[in-house]
Amino acid sequence: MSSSNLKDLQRELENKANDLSKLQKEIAKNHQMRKKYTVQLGENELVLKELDLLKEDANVYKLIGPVLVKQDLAEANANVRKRIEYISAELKRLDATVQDLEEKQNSKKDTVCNFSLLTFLALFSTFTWILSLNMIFDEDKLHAFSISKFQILIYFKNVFITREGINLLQK
Amino acid sequence: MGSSWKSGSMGLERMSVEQLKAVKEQADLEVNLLQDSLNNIRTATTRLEIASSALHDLSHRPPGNHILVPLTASLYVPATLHDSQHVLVDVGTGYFIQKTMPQGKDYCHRKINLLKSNFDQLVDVASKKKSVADEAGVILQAKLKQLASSS
Repeated sequence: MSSSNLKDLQRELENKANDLSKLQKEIAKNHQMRKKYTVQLGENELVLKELDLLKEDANVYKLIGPVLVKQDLAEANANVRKRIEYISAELKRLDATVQDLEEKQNSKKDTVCNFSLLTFLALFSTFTWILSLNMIFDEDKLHAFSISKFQILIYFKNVFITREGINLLQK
Repeated sequence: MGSSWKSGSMGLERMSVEQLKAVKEQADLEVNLLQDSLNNIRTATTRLEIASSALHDLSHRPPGNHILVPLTASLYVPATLHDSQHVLVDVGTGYFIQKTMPQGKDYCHRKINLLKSNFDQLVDVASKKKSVADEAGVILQAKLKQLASSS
């Protein structure tokens, strides 16, 4: 394995890891949106409960900018109901996208794991493995795919052992 | 709850150090989040209590009473109390409802009770989470000690 080949592998691994972290960021953003909408939904439901308790002739005001504008109770009720509907629909939509993103993330994680193994195998033929481990994987990046050096070592060891076995059988 | 909790702790004992670390971190995060929520509920409750006592105070003033209304933190203008029987209550999302004094007080009390029941539920959840986090911490420590002594 030549060193330029190795560099290519490393670069590709880095790209894939970047993609993965991008996905993770997107998921986090989605979660935040979801949280915001859930809070709003709760608030609107409280308002609706309050409006339902009122008598027909109650005075309801809506704050528009700095002024309070008098509003019909029926109108206010309809408004809040519509808003709750909208927010619920939005929440459902967000749920769907989050699920989609998480599926994507999982498949990406797998590819990154496999890929890092490949890179590692390539490196193994050039350096002693502990040294190479320290070279390609700094702790931060490993944290991104939530695997430890130790896990990679074990993963690799298993693969190595099976490869040895295959070689022996072929002999 | 008891049986599932037991199986949960059994599961913890079988986990690897890495997994335990992840579990502990997650549990700690959740405990912190719950603690924050509890604090928020507490401040909201005190605010409602202040509002309720203010209403109570106001209901005892006869109309025509002279008052000073704060325009800014340091500027007050004199005014007379026109109506001490009606209040506007902010129910959230920009809606205000005109209520009579007793209705307003009733609103405050309802909200306080709602918050209190939420608070109690949350305390339960938080203490359960905390015990999970503590358990994970203890087992993690034991495992680390074991590893240190065996190596």
